Amino acid sequence: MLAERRVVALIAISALISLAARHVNAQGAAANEPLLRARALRAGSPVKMFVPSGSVRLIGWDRDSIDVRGQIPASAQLLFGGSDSAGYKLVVEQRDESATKASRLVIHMPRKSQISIKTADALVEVTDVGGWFYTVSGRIRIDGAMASLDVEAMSGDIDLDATTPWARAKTGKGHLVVRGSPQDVDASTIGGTLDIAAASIMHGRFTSVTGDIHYASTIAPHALFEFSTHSGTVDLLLPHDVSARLELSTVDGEIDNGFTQLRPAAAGVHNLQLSLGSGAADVTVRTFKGTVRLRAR
Amino acid sequence: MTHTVHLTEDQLQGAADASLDAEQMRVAYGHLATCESCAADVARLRTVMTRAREANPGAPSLDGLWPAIRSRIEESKVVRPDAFAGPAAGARSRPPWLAIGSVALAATLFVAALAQMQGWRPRSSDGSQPSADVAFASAADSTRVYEDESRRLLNDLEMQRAMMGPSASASLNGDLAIIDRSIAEQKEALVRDPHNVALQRLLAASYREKVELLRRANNAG
Repeated sequence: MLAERRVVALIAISALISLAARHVNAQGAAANEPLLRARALRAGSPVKMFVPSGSVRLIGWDRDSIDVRGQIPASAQLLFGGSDSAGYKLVVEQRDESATKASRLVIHMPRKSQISIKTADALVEVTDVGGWFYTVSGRIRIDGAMASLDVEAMSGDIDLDATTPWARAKTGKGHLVVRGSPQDVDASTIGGTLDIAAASIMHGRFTSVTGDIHYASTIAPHALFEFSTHSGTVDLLLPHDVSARLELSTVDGEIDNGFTQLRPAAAGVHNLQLSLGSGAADVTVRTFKGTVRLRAR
Repeated sequence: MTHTVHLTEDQLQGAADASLDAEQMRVAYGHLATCESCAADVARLRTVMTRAREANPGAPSLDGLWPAIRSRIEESKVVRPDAFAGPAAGARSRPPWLAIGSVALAATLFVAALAQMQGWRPRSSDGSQPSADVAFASAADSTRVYEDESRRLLNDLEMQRAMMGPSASASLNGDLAIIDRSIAEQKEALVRDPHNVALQRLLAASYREKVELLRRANNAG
């Protein structure tokens, strides 16, 4: 019971933090930051960016232009080049050898632009544009709708709250949250916690090495899920009327079955097969020495 | 650094798949060390190539599929594939079963090729999983592919480590240590239980995580 509350609380807290941050940033975006660049940009064109530090707010809009607002520290310069059809490249570059100072950018671009952004430790917040997002230790938050998402962090946090047919998200020790309405998801951490709360996923692969994995949602009919961890806990919090076939196995860990009212199809010390409802979806969980917890809510 | 001259498509491709000779590689990597644009292009090419490989790393070749297809056809007794090896002369009017057999063979080959392309395997009629041996071999193949890839990426990374920031470097070292420990534990367990399919799959997953980490680290420079 305590574990269930912890999972729900974790997801609720991250949702609140995300909402609050989005509100603050939306206000910032509306506050008419100084205009740095504005150019025509065809929808679908690539936009490459390198912003080492600070914050970047990327917003997809229905105009055929890119609009860059914000502030660049005096010790840095904004390099901006490209064309309407070939796309643009935007780089914040230090003028001297001093430590990188924080920039603050709010960038509007056509919704179908293909972003490719890299940061060192900046906060990146994205609405309605897809592409490749990379940070070493910064945070990346994405919401809205887009064609695809490819998000990577060495150690930063990632929060996906998007509607997209394809999402891939990887971090090391960062906290990774998958919400919203993605369909095909490949998400993994090394030591970081992975929280999933999205009922729309049809194909999900969730992996960690030592990080805990929490899934708290229903499972779509005909969905195919695979959870895998070395020593993290895999915690599945499912509705009592969920319909899925579950195959849980651990080499040296424990399986804690909360659906005790059902007789398992097969059960041993380190494996459990269970059919819930009509068994419409397939869920496989594998751990080496992590605990597998199956809970009904 | 901003460059006016960039690597050619061939050089980018060669750097991505390591097909350049030693001298060309030295020149290409010298350029990549200072040109973010070309380095990003090479990283992207590698991602594409690895994704293509990952799409079905353990899949047998079409040649490897043939004996099984042939045996299924023979079992079905519709037509023996040997019939196709006979002389065509004198077969002016082909019997109808030959046409049916040809269609069946073509359909089987088509389904097999499609299944291989999509990494899809039909369930058996009782809904059970493929045999443990096949599953184990497939997981072992995946492990080998990821292990080879991680070794190659580690070699590539050596050239970029110097350019990596302290934060990224510390993160990489810590995460590599975690993954290597988990791989060592899994390998040790496999020695005790060498036919454990779940364990072999976990090992493949650990190597996959290592490959993903090294790819991310290659982007950190």
